Amino acid sequence: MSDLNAFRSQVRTWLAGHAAEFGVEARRGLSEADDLALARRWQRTKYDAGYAGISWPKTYGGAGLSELEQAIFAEEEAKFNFGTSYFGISLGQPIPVMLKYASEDLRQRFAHPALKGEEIWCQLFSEPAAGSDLAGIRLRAVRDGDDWVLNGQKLWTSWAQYSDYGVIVTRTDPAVAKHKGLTYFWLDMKTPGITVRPVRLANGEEDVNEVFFDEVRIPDSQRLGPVGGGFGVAIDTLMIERYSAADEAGFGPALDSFVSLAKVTTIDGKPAIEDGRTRREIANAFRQQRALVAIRTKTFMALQEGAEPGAEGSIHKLVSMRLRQRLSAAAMDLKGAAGAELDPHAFPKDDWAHSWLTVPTLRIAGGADEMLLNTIAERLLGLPQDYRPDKAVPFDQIQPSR
Amino acid sequence: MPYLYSDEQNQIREEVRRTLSGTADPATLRGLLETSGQYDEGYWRTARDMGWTAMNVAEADGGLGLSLVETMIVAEETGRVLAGAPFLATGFAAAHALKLGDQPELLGALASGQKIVALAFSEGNEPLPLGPAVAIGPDGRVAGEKTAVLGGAVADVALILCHDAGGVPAIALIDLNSAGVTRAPIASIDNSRCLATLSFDGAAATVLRLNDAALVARQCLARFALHLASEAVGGIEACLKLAADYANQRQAFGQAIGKFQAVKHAISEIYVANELARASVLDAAVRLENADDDAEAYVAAARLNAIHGYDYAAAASTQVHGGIGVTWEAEPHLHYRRARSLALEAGGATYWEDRIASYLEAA
Ligand SMILES: Cc1cc2nc3c(=O)[nH]c(=O)nc-3n(C[C@H](O)[C@H](O)[C@H](O)COP(=O)(O)OP(=O)(O)OC[C@H]3O[C@@H](n4cnc5c(N)ncnc54)[C@H](O)[C@@H]3O)c2cc1C
Repeated sequence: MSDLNAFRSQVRTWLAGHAAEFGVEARRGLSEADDLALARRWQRTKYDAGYAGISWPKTYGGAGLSELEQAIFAEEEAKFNFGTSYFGISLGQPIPVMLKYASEDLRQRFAHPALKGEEIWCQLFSEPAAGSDLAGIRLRAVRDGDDWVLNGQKLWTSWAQYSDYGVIVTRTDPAVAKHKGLTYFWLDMKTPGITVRPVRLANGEEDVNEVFFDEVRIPDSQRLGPVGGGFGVAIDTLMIERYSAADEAGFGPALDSFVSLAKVTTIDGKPAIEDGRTRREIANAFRQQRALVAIRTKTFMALQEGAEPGAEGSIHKLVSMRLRQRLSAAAMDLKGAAGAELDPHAFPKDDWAHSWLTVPTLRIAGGADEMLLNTIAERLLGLPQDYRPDKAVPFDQIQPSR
Repeated sequence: MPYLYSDEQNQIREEVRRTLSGTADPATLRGLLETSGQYDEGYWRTARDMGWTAMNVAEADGGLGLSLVETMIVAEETGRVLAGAPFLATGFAAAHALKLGDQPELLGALASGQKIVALAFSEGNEPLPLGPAVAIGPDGRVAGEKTAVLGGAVADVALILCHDAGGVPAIALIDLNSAGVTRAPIASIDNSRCLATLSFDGAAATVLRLNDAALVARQCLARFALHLASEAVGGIEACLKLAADYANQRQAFGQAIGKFQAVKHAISEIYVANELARASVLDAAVRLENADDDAEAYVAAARLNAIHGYDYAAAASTQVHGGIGVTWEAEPHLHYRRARSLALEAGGATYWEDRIASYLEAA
């Protein structure tokens, strides 16, 4: 463990040394374009220092270290609020899936620019009628000689507006059951016929998009996995995301900041920190956050001994996001009417109102709470699967969702 | 000390589990619930024979000198089967004071299981009264009353928190079978816990020689709380298994009830609660063992995770069982009772919430 401790303190020092240039204060007030430019420089800085793709093989620009170092770095990096979100999807799923399924030439071609922050990838899975129910996608891909022609729509595609490439699941055979008629490709987002349109989220941000496909032609050589085997590759993509970055505050403000607030606010003229309800909020957050950290520590150790990551990720997402939602609202309560103020230059990590406004998104994205609970029940506890009446029905006989 | 169990620790768990499966079971507990002040003598004999009473006592004092982690493993297993006597928890906490207070003889008797020691610190709803009302006079005689003492109905000796003639907090030993002691068993939600009111009227006491009795009392309470939290973790796991098994087997509307998400999700939430509580308890045990400064706050976190987790798990498991779940014959009510009893025995949620808030306030 001492090696890891040494790694952690080395990382901490290194990160702290770059906080002024790339951290939250440098980012405050920037336009998204400028923030992205800064984030790209940050990503490049990490690459040059060997901190991008820590657990990736060296030949693809990584550091060839374990998931443990990767997780430690992410944990420490999360404290600084650097601009990393633009690359989260790209390096989290599409590139790893390329590393697994694409030819060696393509792996070399794409891994380095992505790690350097030069190229961004998106993941084109969800559609208006296929979110949790991933196998419900309708976007068609029809074979035409050596090519495929794509028509249809994707939705919720994070960072598609900045993406150079994407991975996509399509329906290639509507006459078979829904899970069986899917095929997976990668594509250039500049391919003619692709239109990206931003979707404004409730928190005002526009990091997700609608993406339209109109007679988009791509070669069969861009297929990943077999024809009809797209669902398997998609599940693989989602599974690749190993033990991902974890912040027990759910990437919202830290508990300390709640305690500080409670010290300077009053309830009924008395210090809020002395109020039992405040103390309950504090204790409630502390107990759950400490447990999440303990689970994480335990996972680190298990990984070190060669175990595969288990359900920790689901537990973490569920518990930390609910907690963040609750604590954010409680903090806003403490501030009274002023709690409603939404500073346009603040970030969810350092501002309770932003944190509160953004958290519903996080309870949906990447698996809604309900889906996480289903996964725990079905995969870990051996409870029966939900009733899925459309499972064996040919896809073209299923009633469309809307 | 690692957060993962070693092979030896896993073996201890296996052995404890195997032993308990032959001795303690919910049916025994059901019998104990009928009257206050009875405990499962078969289980207790086994605990002594297996050396569980000696685990956390140093070898020099007649114990096995194992770490907190091993002790917590045993606690968890006893919690899983709803073992019908609370003396491991009280003895474990008392051993800490006896060791510091230079009472080797009693420590040896506690380790061998010859003597059952109760921990009588709380007064009213305060688990650790800063100015205890129970008083010890210059003549070493004690006056006052401690209510709801865990194990008090049958223990041989009590370790009390009191104030001495100078008004300073002290920890003293009282032989509960001596003159001037009256005990009144309390009928409770879980009678196997053997709660009793202990009244002292001129009972003779031995004051432990301690540098700072108030601090030692706090350390004992932390150990006590952690032990109960570990038992709760075992309880949560038992509820999880009960609920999952039942949901797989019971049919309604033409399918297993586990197919209904309301049921399924309730069970997944037990799983989450169990993981949080288990990780939290182990983390606190490691910190307590290392005597870290922040150990008490982590014990508080473990305690709260265990309280909330077990309360939830017992209620949810009952719900999943439907009508059967609320019958006397079923198991859920045994956990429902035990969960709440454990939740109160070393100070309720508010006390521990306050410990955390104070810790962070001062940080
Ligand atoms: C900010 C953001 C970024 C995203 N980025 C991407 C991206 O980059 N690429 C991409 O492909 N997708 C992305 N998504 C899409 C995301 O994966 C989906 O939104 C998510 O899977 C939920 O799907 P849905 O929105 O269609 O909701 P639905 O699936 O329609 O769910 C609606 C409600 O029904 C519940 N529900 C659905 N099925 C079940 C079930 N079986 N049991 C119980 N409850 C159920 C859900 O829990 C939810 O409460 C993003 C979403 C957001 C909000």
